[in-house]
Amino acid sequence: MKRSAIGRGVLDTLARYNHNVEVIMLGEFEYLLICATARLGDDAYGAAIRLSVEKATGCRCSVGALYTTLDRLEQKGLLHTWMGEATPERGGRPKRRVRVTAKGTREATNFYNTVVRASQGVSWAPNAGLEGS
Amino acid sequence: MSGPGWWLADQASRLLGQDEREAVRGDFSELGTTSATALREILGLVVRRQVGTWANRGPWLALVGLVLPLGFLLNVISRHWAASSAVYAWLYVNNWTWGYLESPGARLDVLNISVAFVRECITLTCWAWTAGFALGSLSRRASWFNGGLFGVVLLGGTIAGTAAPVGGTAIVFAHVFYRVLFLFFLRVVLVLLPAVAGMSTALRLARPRLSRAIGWFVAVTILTWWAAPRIESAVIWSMWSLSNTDPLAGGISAWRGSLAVRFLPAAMLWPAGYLITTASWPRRRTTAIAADD
Repeated sequence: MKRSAIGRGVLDTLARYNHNVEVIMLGEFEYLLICATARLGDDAYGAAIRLSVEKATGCRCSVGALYTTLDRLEQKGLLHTWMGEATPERGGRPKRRVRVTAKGTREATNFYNTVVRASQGVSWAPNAGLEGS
Repeated sequence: MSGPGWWLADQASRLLGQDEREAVRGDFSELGTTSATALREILGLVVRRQVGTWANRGPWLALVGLVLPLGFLLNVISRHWAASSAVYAWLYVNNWTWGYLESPGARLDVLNISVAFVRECITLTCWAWTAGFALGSLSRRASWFNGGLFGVVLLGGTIAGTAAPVGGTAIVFAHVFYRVLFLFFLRVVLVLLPAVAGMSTALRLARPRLSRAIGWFVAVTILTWWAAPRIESAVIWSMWSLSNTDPLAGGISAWRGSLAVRFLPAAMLWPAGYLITTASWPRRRTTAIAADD
């Protein structure tokens, strides 16, 4: 037990030393997926999340990027996915439904707060002129 | 969703897991994606999945420890055994006479040769099935690549060598059937098909039953122990046929009886050992599958 804790500590230290930001916070695409999932609520599944991300970013979201990132987030415990019901408009095929976990909500909140803090005082941030006043 | 484009997309999607395939095809239906876009996106997802799979150690272990060494060993052993069986088949089929059964000594010869042939067939099948199981279990999503390569090594690994022994047996191998078809048939039926069956079993089962795994291990160990002397001769014969030199030439004869060649039978046992390990360590195995998928 003690040995594995030491091992994890060493790995974390090495990861931070190598500026592996993924250990500390979400990636931006991961954050986009969590946002889309949270916004869609009970209607969150593959195609809907994809459309939501494309609408928010104006960029194309490939099936490969979507499903591999969903898997990664599920392995991290930030999302939970399951196979839903089949519908006629999908040719009788089921949806892969998605839900944000409590840990996912915490991580997304941390990411958002970090980005807001890091953006204070920069010219493109809406509150740039307010700093120091 | 019909037409050649969708057929191609459907074939490509078979490289994905079943749930993922259904979800992705459903998304395409719902979004009204064209077949060309669907094919491109499915291939993109397959490539990402493959890259993710090869980031694990399982497919590499299967490639380095199984596909290349065992594929080549099964190739040379099946080739050697097929060549010697071809000689007896020619002797007893092409030159059949009831005299073979009239004399007690000749009858005993027929019996011994038939028993040896059946034993060799069973041995090859067992080796191939256990190798296929280990291959599928370790490779998971990379099974189609490692399995395909295993087939290439098995069928083509010695393609550059001498097609068949010369000298006293030249008359046998003058027949295309014995030189080409018999060899091909033996490899496909006794090695390739059992390996594919083992691989598909591994992909279907999360964990084999321990009693069956022990049964396979005991059977493979006994058969390998019986076959050990013939493995050595098959390898030496193959080295000779690949190099086209005299079998008694210095380089090759130095291998005869060497430690490396004596340990070759043990190499045929490791897939059966892996089967037992997989069956007896359920928790570790489940974790490995979850990490891989």
